[in-house]
Amino acid sequence: MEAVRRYFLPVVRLLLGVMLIASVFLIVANAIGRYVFLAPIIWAEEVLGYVLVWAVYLGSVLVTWDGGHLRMDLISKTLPGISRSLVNGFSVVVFVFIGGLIVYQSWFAIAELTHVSQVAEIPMNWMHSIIPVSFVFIAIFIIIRFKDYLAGKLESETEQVEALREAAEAAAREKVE
Amino acid sequence: MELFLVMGVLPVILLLLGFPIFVILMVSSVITILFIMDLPITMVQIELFGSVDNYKLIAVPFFIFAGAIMAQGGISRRLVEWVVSLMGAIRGSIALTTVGACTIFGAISGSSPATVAAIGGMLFPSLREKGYPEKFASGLLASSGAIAGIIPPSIAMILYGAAAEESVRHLFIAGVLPGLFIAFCMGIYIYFYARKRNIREGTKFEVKRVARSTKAGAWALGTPLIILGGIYAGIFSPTEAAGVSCLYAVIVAMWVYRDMNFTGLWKVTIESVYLTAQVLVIVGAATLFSRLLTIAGVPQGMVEWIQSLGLESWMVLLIINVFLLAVGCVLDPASAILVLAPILKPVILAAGIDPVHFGIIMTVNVSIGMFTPPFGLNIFVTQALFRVPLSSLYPGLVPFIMINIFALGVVSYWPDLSLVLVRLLG
Repeated sequence: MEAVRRYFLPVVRLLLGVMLIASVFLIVANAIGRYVFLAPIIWAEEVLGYVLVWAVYLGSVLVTWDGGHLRMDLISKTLPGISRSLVNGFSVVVFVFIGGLIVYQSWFAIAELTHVSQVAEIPMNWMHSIIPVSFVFIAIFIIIRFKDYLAGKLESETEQVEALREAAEAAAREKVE
Repeated sequence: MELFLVMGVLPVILLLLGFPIFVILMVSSVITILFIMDLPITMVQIELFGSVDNYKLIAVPFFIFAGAIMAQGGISRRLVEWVVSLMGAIRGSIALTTVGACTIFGAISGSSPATVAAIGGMLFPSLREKGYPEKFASGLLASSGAIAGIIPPSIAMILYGAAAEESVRHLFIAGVLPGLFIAFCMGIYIYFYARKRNIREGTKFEVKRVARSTKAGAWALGTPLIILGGIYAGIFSPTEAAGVSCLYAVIVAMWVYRDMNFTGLWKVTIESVYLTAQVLVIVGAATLFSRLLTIAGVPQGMVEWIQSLGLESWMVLLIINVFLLAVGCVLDPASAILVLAPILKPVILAAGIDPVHFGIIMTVNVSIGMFTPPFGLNIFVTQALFRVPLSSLYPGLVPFIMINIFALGVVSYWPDLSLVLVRLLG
C-alpha cells in the first residue's frame, strides 16, 4: 500500500496534471492559430477528446483509491456496525465484479478496432486501451483497500471537507468589512 | 416487468445502500445487456469511450480549473470588494453582496460548493458581525452558492447540452436572464428582511471607493467578460472560452496579483482533474444506461402515456418540475441530468416545450436540489465550513427555497425570459 502511495499515485497525478495543462495550451493555440495565422490546428479537437477520455478514466483510478466516487451515503451511514460492513462488503464485491467485466469485454471490443482516427491518424485500439488499463487498477485498488472500504474509512470525505475548510479559512482571513 | 425491476427498482435500492452512482448505473446496464436484451457486451466499451470523447465536455475540466484558480488566486476577494463598494450604501448590503458576489463568481466558476467556500468564507463572519442571525446567514450562503450553477458558464448546462444534444452556446445565452432573475428575487427578500429587522450596516456610497475597487478588480472582472463576451460574440466556442479563461486566470493570479505560486497552481491542477474524473466518469455509465432505456422504448412509451392522459403542456411541465425537485433532493445534479435529460427530451418535445428552455428549467431544478433538505450538498458544505447545526440551518433555508421555487415557476411558464436573448444573439 505504501508503494502505491509513494510511487504509483504521484506518477498518475503527474500524468493527469500534464494532460490538463497541455490541453489548455492546445486549445488556446488552436484559437490563436485560427484568428492570427488563419491556420487552425486541425487535429486539436480530436486529440482533446481523447485526452479527456484518458484524464477521466485515469483520474477515476485516483478517485477509487480515495473512495471518492459520488454516492448518496447518508442513509447507509446510519446503519448499525455489522449491517454497514455487510453493505460495504457487498458494494466492494459488486464494484470488483463490474471492473472485471469491463476489462473482459474491452479485450474483445479493442481486438476489433483496427482503424486509426480520422484526422490525427492515431491507432484507435491504443486510445481505447485506457479503459481496461484503468479498470484493472481500479479493481486492484479496491482489493488492496478492502479493509478500509469495508469499514467505510477512506480519506476522500475528510480530505474534501478539509480542503474546503482550508479554502474558507483562507477566504475568512481576507474578510471584507 | 423485468426491465422495470432492473432499471427502475434496483438503482433506487443500490442508491439508498450508498453504492457509487457510477457503479449503480453500470450494474443495471450490464444486467440488462446480458439477461434482458441480449445485446453484445462490447457495447459497454463503445459507450464508455464514445460518450466521454465529446468536444462539448472538454469545457468541464477547463471551467473547473479556471474557477479553482480564481478562488485561490485572490480574484474572488477582489470581486467581493468590488460588489461591496457598489452595494455598501443599500440596506442589507452585506447580505446583498453575498448574492451579488455569488452571481459574479458564478459567471466564472460553475461549481456551487466551491462558491459557498470561496464567498462564504469571506462574508459569513461579516454577516454575523452585522447582526444577521446564524439561521439567516447560513441559509443565505447555501442558497446563494446555487446561483453559480445557473449563471453561465454552468457545468450543469454543459452536461445537459451533451446528454440532450443541444447547443451549449444557446444554453449559456438562455441562462443569463433566469440566473439574474433568481438573484433579483433573493435581493428583494433580503432588502425587506433587513428593513423589518432594522439591520443597519454598510458604509456611505463613495465614487472614489468604487473607482479604487474597480481599478483593483479590473483584471478579475475581465474574466466573465472574456468567457461570456467571447461566447456571445461568436468569437469562441464555449470550450475555447473555457480554455482561454484558464490561461487568463493563471496569468492574472500568478503574475498580475501574485497571489499564487507554481506549487499552488499544481495543487489546483490536480484537484481540478480529480473533480473532473469524479463527475465525468458518470457520463459513460449514464449514457449506456439511457441508451438502453431508449432501445427498450421507455422514452417513447412515456410520450404515448402522457399523450393518452390528454395533459396540457403546462401540466406536463408541472409534473416534470415536481419530479425533478424530488430527484434533486436526493441525487447530485450531474447524475440527474445525465440520466434524465435523454429520457425527458422526447416528452417535452411532444408537449411543445423548447428543449433549450427545458435545459434552463432542468438546471434551475437541480440547483434548488443543491440546498434542499435532506441531502443538498451545499447544506453539508455550509454545515461543515461554518459549524452551523442542521437545526439552525434547515429553518434558515425555508424562505430561500420558497423564493427559488417561485422563480422556477416564472422561468418555467415564461419561456421568453430564457429564449429572448437566444433569439437576439443566437
